Amino acid sequence: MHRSVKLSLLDVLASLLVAGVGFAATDNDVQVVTLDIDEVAEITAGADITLTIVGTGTPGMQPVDPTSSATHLQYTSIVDASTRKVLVKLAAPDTVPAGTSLHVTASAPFASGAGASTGSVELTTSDQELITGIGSVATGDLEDDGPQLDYVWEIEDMTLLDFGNDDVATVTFTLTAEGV
Amino acid sequence: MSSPNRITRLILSTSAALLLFAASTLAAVTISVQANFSRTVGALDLSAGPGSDLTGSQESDPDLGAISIEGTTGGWRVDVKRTDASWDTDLELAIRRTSNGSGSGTISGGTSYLEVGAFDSTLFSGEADRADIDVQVRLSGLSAALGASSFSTTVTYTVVDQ
Repeated sequence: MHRSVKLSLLDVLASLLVAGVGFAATDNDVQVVTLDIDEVAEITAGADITLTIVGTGTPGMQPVDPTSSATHLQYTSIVDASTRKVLVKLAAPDTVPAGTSLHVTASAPFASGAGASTGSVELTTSDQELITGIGSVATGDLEDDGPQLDYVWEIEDMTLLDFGNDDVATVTFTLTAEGV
Repeated sequence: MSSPNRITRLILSTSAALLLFAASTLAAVTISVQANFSRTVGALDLSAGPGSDLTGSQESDPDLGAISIEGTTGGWRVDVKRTDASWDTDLELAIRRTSNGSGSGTISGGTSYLEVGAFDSTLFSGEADRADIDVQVRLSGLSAALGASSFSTTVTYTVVDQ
């Protein structure tokens, strides 16, 4: 026994609607974007400074130790998970005048990741730690950015001072890896 | 109307719908994207020497990654989204269209940078096939605080034939 099935216009339209709605043709392709940041270690100590021993004007009084806080240490350090430190020394063959010693301290501001001061360092021609625990940081490059450098030129024995002399002491700062 | 006849009509209607869907996918629109973007930054990318930070943004060449769209049946649009492999929330990725490409159809939108996120956003649209549509990628939010590392994400370009 044959049985015919008639599809009404409604059936056909419903089929077309189902086929069309939600079945918009699509395709996609991809593009990979990669950024690599390399390690960076850049440091500068600002302008030269002059320390001058001057008499007090009072007979018998020892001159005051000259000081300067006019400069800042500025650095950009980019590391992975390691840390860095700043070493400081007098650049040979420079020496401090006889009867005196030169000291430097790194003081605030220390931005997050910029490390911490080790305190006052008496400068010699050997590297000594000035700042430790530096991570990934940019201290800033404006005049007052970065840790302040406090210099003290201590007079230890006036009898050894050679007044009238101008001496040059070159101070070297090195940004380097800790624990190496 | 008898129940068996109603079921048969349902089966025939469904089959017709599936056949039409299959036909539409055989003549599918396609999109191809030509180039990836990779950038390495270091000391030379500091904005002002020691103490300064990395330049905040990096752009690709303006003719990076030519896009071609073929097999269209009329109007279409291109959506973009990103899937991060290793990323930092401070980094932002933006894309813009820098050329109209070639072809008989039209193209519009997308000439200003669009920040790409995890969900589809429409970058540009048009009609008929277009080839060699140039795009430019911009990465922003770079800083020393990100550390020395590698960051990667995949941008998916999806063409929707409308």
